Amino acid sequence: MARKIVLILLAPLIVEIAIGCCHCDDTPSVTSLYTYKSIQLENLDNRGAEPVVSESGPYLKEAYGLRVHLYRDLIAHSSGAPVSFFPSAYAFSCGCENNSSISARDSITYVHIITLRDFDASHQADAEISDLFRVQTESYGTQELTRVGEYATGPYLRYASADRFLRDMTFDILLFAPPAAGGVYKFKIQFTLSDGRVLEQETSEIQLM
Amino acid sequence: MRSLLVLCVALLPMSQAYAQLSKPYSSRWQTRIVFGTDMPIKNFPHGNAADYLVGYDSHAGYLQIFNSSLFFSRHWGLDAGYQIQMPSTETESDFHRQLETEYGDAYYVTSFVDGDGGNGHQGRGNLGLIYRFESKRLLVYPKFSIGFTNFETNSGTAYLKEKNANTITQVRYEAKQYSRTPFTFIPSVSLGYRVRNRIAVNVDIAGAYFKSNIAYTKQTRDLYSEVISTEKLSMKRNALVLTVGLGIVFTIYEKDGK
Repeated sequence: MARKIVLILLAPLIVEIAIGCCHCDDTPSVTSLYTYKSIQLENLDNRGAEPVVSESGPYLKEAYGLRVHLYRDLIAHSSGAPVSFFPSAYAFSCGCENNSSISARDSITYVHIITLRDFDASHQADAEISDLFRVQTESYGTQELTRVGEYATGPYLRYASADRFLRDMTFDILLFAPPAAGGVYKFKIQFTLSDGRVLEQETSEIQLM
Repeated sequence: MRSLLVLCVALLPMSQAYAQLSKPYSSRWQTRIVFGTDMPIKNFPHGNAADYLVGYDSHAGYLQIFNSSLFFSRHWGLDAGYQIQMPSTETESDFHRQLETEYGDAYYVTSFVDGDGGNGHQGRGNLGLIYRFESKRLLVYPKFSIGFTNFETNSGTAYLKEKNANTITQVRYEAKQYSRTPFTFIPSVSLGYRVRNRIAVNVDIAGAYFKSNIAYTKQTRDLYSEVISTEKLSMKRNALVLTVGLGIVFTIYEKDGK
């Protein structure tokens, strides 16, 4: 009799051992919500094979670029661990896919790159020059140059942190139509967010040659 | 190769013990297995990067997986065979090296070849006439065959990042066809020594000649301005190789039905 009682009491645990490890839930187990917080710019020297940060100019105008750090803050985080008799630590392998979900509370709607000095004959001070820059993207070996606005508002940033939250999203924008003459230049980048906020940052005065 | 020689040495003493050999010219069906290597006499020229995307290796080792002869008269017969070849070149790295040679002074080069980046499949098939001279032990079989050589023509892409500038240019080499199968002329001679009644060891020496028109499109695209220029590369390529192989000949059917 005592044996039967023990067996009945242990039955849920035995069933849990049998099915617990194979239970893969499609609903996200971890949900994160973030917001864009601030940006930071660094000057790039792209004379070599890869762009490198260089805070001391002068810069070759044909090989100039900016590294953008887009900082984000985690504002909500929930872990939907299922209720179980058995801790998952006892599982050998569940083989479940990562169902974490990372989403933005706000999105980037516009990106403007503005020259704060006269750039060339058709771009005076305070003119937008976003179209003269591009972001270099690569997918399965295929390289493309993407417009900055398209890169920031499109799926690229979302895909870059699809499986884990990145506090600092970094990407490089390169100048592809440099001014005819060298001189002192200064740029400003503005990210307009869907909640109306504008994140902006200016470069220091830089010497392009 | 070494194992075949060991087998031949092992069979020679046995040939003394089984000295009952059939009469010359009595076999009707023969089949043989041969492996060896190609040696180039006239190789494909390599003038541009697209040449390195052509998956033909004139130094390839080969294994003749099928080769049979049917003798319909005392001296004449039909001979057919197919050999798979094992190219030793590395298409992707050779392609990249050539791009470095062409563009490396002014650009940083990255590149890839479509697919797995290897040579892919290479093979040669033949069908022709065989003539035979036989003595009790020595077999001499001159042959003349026509057939085909099959190899792949890969496509590849290079990205040229200009030194001291942001400029990036994509250069795409697109093959018109995925593979080529040119007609091939294959004169050859097979020299054999009978070690047992139905077994002979042999040396195959053959020449193989083919000419192939290979077409590529070279597209150059500036990734910023999207300016595209296209150039057609028509490459007439001739190859002449000497192949040498070692193998074993099996007589599988004789005229008296044995």
